[in-house]
Amino acid sequence: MPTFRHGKNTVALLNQFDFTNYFNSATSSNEVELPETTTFGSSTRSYITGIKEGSVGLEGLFSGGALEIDTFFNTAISSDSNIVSTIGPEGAVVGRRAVLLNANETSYEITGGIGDLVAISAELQASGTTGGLDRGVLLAAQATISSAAAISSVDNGASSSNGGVAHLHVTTNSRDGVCTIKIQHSADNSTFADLVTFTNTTASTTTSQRVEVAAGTTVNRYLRANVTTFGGSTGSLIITVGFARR
Amino acid sequence: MAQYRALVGIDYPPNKRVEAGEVVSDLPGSSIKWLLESNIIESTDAKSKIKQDEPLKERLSKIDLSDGLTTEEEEVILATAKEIEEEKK
Repeated sequence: MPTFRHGKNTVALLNQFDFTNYFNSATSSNEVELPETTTFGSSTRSYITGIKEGSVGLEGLFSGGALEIDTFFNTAISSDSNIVSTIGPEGAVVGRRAVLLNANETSYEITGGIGDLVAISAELQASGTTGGLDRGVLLAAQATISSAAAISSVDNGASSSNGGVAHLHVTTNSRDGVCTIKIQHSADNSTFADLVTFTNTTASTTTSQRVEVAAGTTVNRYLRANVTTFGGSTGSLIITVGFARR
Repeated sequence: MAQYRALVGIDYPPNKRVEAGEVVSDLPGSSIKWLLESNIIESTDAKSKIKQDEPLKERLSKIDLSDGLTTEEEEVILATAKEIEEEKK
């Protein structure tokens, strides 16, 4: 039996911001060019796989406060910096699918009409070594962290051998010390080795990171996020971690 | 007991951790095979530069004390000491 999901639980994280509550539509698409190789003498058309690309379209409601959606998109569209973007169409649950992209904003629209809320829409174009979007899983999903601990592992069913890409979004941080967040992998779901160590999250700082695991690297069957250092004495943080195998 | 050098940090039961570069001898036996295959650990014995056909004193000079002693290295030290004692006689 297929497992269907309702779209209302979609989550959208851009850099250190959880903008889930601003959007009401998220569309991710991967495309690939197919140059034609048909020549004289052929009775059917033929093609070869060309260059891949991916994008995400987001629609939602306008909000113009500091550090809110309008400020973010208005700043990002003229920035050279890429946006670490994680879209979870299945909701904020560990193990659910997520789309990961290192994006440039290519359009931002604000629509105001009589009789309706002010709406926004934005287009994010994936940029990176793979050209398109990476599709992976959430290893931590809007998780409140108040101690050093590993989060439940995710079983991929088998290992993979071509590296991957990892995203970390620290969207809230009231912790008064340094925290270290890692992604670990395992073949037996018992002993876990470090796969990705994100740069330390400093006290009371929200942040986002994207780390690429080199092509050819074995990623074992089980993956988990682990907060291995939880410095300071008070406060907590909210994190989302995603990993896509290649 | 076999010793292994961790090439990356590893968490293993019961609630233990070894950092990259450290030598450990209590990894779960069931995990050793995949850890070796994934290049997450390496056997310190396998890395030994000691060749069995070399003179004892040559073998002694190649022992690296910075990462602890393997069983093989202990045997070389004891055998060399014994050989020196016999030479004195």
